[in-house]
Amino acid sequence: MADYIIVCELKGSENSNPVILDSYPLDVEDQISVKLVPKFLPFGSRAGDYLINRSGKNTILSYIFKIENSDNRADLLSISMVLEKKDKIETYKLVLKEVIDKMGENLLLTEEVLKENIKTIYQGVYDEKDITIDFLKIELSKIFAEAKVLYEIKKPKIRGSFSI
Amino acid sequence: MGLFDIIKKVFTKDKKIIICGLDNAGKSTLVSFLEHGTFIEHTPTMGKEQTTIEVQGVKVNIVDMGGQKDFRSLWLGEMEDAECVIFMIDASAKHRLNEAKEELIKLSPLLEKKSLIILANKYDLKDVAQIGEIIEALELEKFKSFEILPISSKTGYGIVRAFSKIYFKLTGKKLTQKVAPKALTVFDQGGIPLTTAHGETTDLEILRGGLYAAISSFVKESFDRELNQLKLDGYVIILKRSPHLMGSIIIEENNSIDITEAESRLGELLAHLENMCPELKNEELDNDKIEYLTQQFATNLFN
Repeated sequence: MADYIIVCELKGSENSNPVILDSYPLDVEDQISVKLVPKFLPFGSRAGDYLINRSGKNTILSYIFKIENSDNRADLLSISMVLEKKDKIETYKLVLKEVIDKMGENLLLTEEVLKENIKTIYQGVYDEKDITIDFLKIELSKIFAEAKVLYEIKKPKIRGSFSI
Repeated sequence: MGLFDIIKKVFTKDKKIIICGLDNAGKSTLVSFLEHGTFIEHTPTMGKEQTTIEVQGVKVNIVDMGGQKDFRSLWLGEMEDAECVIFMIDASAKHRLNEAKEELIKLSPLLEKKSLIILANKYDLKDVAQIGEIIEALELEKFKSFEILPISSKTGYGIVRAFSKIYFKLTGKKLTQKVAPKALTVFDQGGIPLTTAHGETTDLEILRGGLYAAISSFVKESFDRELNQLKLDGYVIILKRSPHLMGSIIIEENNSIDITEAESRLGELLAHLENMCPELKNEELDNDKIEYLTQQFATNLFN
């Protein structure tokens, strides 16, 4: 279960700096956001990376991606989940990638759309339910169901007899 | 591993270079050109990235620093143990030369003990600041020693020359080029020459008569078998195909020639052209573009 979701960005244009684009449900104050960004968009991040960091007792899972620009370098972004427990990290990796990939395929991967829908994305992850961004339905429930089968630890069957 | 190899390993230290400069100067693009031999689009560098390349047995650790304001305070720390500092500027961004100067001044106390190389990038573009203009704008005359070189991390222009300087600063040795070509030609799939790059002392007779005859034979014979090497009038002509182009490189026939190396250089050029000309996949040929890219890339092969 995610405490909150954060999106960070380093724009490809001149004179940009890494910033927190938005977060939900926690509001990150501007004056501390600069110090926090490397936790969510770590040094050396490249598009396609999954990065795991610690923050106190919490685990931060970040998926790094890019948004293309027509007249500049692509922007570098991260979508991060702050987690109390690490047991579903592999599932959340699939979920984050699915959201970003589907938005990208449907030309919805923009700063504005991400900011407008961060609450929707958080709710979908929290409830393990499908979400709708603009016209696009993203079947998160399917991802959670498939991941459960894939990553569920199978309990060993007890064999033999112990009767004395 | 023999005793000499062990001693060599102990006394040969990895070399470290740091590349810094304003955001969007082309630092990461240069690093990936050194690694892959062609232009790769990059997102901005978050903080720093490290890459190691091996050159003539020497491991060179390249620390590519993010150029945004938030990362510039990291440069000094990384410079401490670097043998060479490369400061890259975007020669087409004349409006930012003053900002570049300000950042260079902040580094000057440490630069007194380091080798400084200024790379003026984006020299593939038309309206770029000239070298003299950059020296004046950055007040480089105030530095004890510096070298300034024009390059393009997009087309490869001047990259080998620049890296040779860097290598010399690091090791005191020259970067040995095993291939000294006389001419480099790019053809379309049918064997029609699109462009030729050659050194200044090349006998053009080789280019006119012998080469075209050799290419005609190559095209004729290539339906039956691949012919990738011909000897003619004391020269070796190496031929190679890429998905949409053909190329040839002419080298003098003597005992010290390295055919494999020459073929590699030709292969790198063709791969670079295929990468930079995606329209080739649609059977579109932009002669001017291929000519320009070949001439730019060829600066790395002709002294």
